[in-house]
Amino acid sequence: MLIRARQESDSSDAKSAGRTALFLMAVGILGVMLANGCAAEKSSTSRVRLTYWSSTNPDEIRLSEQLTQEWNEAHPDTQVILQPLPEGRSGEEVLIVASAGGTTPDICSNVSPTISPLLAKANALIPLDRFSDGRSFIHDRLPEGMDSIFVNSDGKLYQVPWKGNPIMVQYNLGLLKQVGITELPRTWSEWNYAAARVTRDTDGDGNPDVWMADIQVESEWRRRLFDFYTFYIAASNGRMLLKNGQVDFNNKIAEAVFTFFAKGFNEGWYPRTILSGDQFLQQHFAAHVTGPWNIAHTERFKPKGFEYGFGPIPVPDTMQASVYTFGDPKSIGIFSTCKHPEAAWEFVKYLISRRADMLLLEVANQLPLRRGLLTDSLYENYFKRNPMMLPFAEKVPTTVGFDQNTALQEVFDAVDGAFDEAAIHNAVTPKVALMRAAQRSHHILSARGG
Amino acid sequence: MQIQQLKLARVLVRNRSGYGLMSPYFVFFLFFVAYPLLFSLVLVFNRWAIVGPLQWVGLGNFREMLGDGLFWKAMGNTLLFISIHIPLQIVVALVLALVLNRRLLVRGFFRAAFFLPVVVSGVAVTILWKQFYGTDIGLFNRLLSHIGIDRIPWITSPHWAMPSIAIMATWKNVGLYIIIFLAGLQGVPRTLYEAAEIDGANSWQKFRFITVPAINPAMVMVVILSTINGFNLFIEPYVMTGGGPMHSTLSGVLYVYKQAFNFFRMGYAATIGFSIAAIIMIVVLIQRKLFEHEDN
Repeated sequence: MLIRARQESDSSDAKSAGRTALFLMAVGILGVMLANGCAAEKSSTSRVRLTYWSSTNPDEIRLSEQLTQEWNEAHPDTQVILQPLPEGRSGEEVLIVASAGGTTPDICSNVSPTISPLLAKANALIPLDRFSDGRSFIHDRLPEGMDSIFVNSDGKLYQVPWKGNPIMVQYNLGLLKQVGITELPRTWSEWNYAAARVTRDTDGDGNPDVWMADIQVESEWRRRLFDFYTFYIAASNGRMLLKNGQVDFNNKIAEAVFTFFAKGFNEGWYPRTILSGDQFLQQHFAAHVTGPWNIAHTERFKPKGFEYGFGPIPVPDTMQASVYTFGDPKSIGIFSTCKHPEAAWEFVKYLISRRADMLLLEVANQLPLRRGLLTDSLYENYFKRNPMMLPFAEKVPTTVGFDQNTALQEVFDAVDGAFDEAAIHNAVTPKVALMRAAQRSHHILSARGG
Repeated sequence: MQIQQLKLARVLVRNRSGYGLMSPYFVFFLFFVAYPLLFSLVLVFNRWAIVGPLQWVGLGNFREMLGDGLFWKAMGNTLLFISIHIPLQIVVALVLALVLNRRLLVRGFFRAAFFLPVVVSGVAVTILWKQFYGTDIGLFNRLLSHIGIDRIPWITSPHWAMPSIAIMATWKNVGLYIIIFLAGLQGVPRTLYEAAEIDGANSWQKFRFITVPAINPAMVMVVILSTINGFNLFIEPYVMTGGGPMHSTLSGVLYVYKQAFNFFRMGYAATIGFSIAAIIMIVVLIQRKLFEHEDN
């Protein structure tokens, strides 16, 4: 009986001690939370805090770190917190999901022009028109006539055009020399002439192991940016897929581009195979359609004695030379979740300042969309030290980006399907494939475009 | 009424530890299963691009789906995959299970080896097979060339791509079905075989009249599971072909993914998703009617 009473007493003491501990813990947590809350409130009243998402490219992270650190040192009242774009299948997907959840940053420098119309439609982006110098600042920065291609269908400008990567053709000069070609192809005939000679079996197993170009056969609309779209822009003097929100690709030029690629696949100049690894650097291909970012990659991983050079996108024989090319542009956006838009705009202006653009070249090897890039004395030394970047920089004023339409990715998907059928697999004629893609796109645009 | 409420309260109090233990999963279920399910049901009748408000379209998504050639193409591809994958899976799994049911040297090793692909990441396995399937520089075509067979465009020809994916999927999943068949085989009483031997039955007759009927429940399980897995075909075409060439490997679920996360058409994607779930339910019900015998 006595033992039982003692046990009950012990148990009651233990319970009481447990309750006290829990109470103290709760008070402690509450205290810490209150203290943090007060601190946060205090900091938010004394200084502005901006969150900034950069691209996940290591060079761009280094660039953003340097720029943010310099800004924070010079502007103690407006502190920027940098974070690379969170992981996701694509930057577009991450930004759309963040917009839905209301977790977008104040500023992001990896906004693809393909999704800015959708973000604008959902009021997720702040139009630059709300800043007194918004439009004029961008107009003065961009090469002549380029600002109109970034304007949304509602007439407002929601993105800060930041950088572009003009697409050109990188050649393995050694492979071309082996078959007696010393001049880089400028026209489709010259390209095909080179392709017929370069494509061959070098190990004697009866199958080719060197081809002209690594045209991707995987079904993915982004792949078409580096074959059909780039060649179409070059051949059509800068036309895009749409005009005034309507299909504009169902024409003779697109048909000719499809036929040009179909010939290459039929002749075996481009393998119908899914490639992995860098087969261009492994010397299986004489040509690779790419942007300036590939210079640093090539320099880092090229085999010994590898010679390379860049040439323009080949054009139909009736044209003298290519003027336009795809520019793979990227923009900066200020999101409507931002509580300090004016401060964000000041930071964005700093990100696209002359000095910041110099760092974009130096650190990330990417080209700013800037007027007078080749005449400004600040950049002169850079191009002297990096002559390979010069042909790309020359192309910047004549690069073409994307149509500003919410259904653009679906339209590209329809074009991808047509290219797959007509150019890669020769299952239907280019004319039929393009007609089907145009019909599908017309249906998409009338149902969801804008 | 009050008495009923009292009874309910008493039941809740009496079983409080049970409800307490159940509550974490219940909360998880509520937020991560029930809510998304109900919300996607709402989406079926709306247009929604993740950002922006819902836009009521009534049965518009269903009307669009019925007239969408790519949706029917995706469903046709899925049925083609299932019609190759299920028979292949059953035959291979059953043969291997019969072999592994015998007294073999290092039987445990083989059982583990066949099960290994099931537990390996689907993405990793698919990337590996993508290399094997390479037309010009892939392992399979290199091996075939040694025996004088021409290169096969495994995943780059619209005719070969889906069968190639079915072969890979069979290799990946066969271990699971071997285990199910082995469980069924080990439940067959030895005495049945002994009685059949006394009656003069040969090996084929024993297999046909004893083994097959006895493992019918396992067979039903394998058919149903592989049908459901077949309709959920996603990783293999997503990683290996992206749905090409010429949409020949575009599965229903991959089409849902493309609509949802490439084109941000959540309402339409939800409509296709619910339709696939309904088709799976109907097919499984038919299969159960066909394969399940009351005597089992």
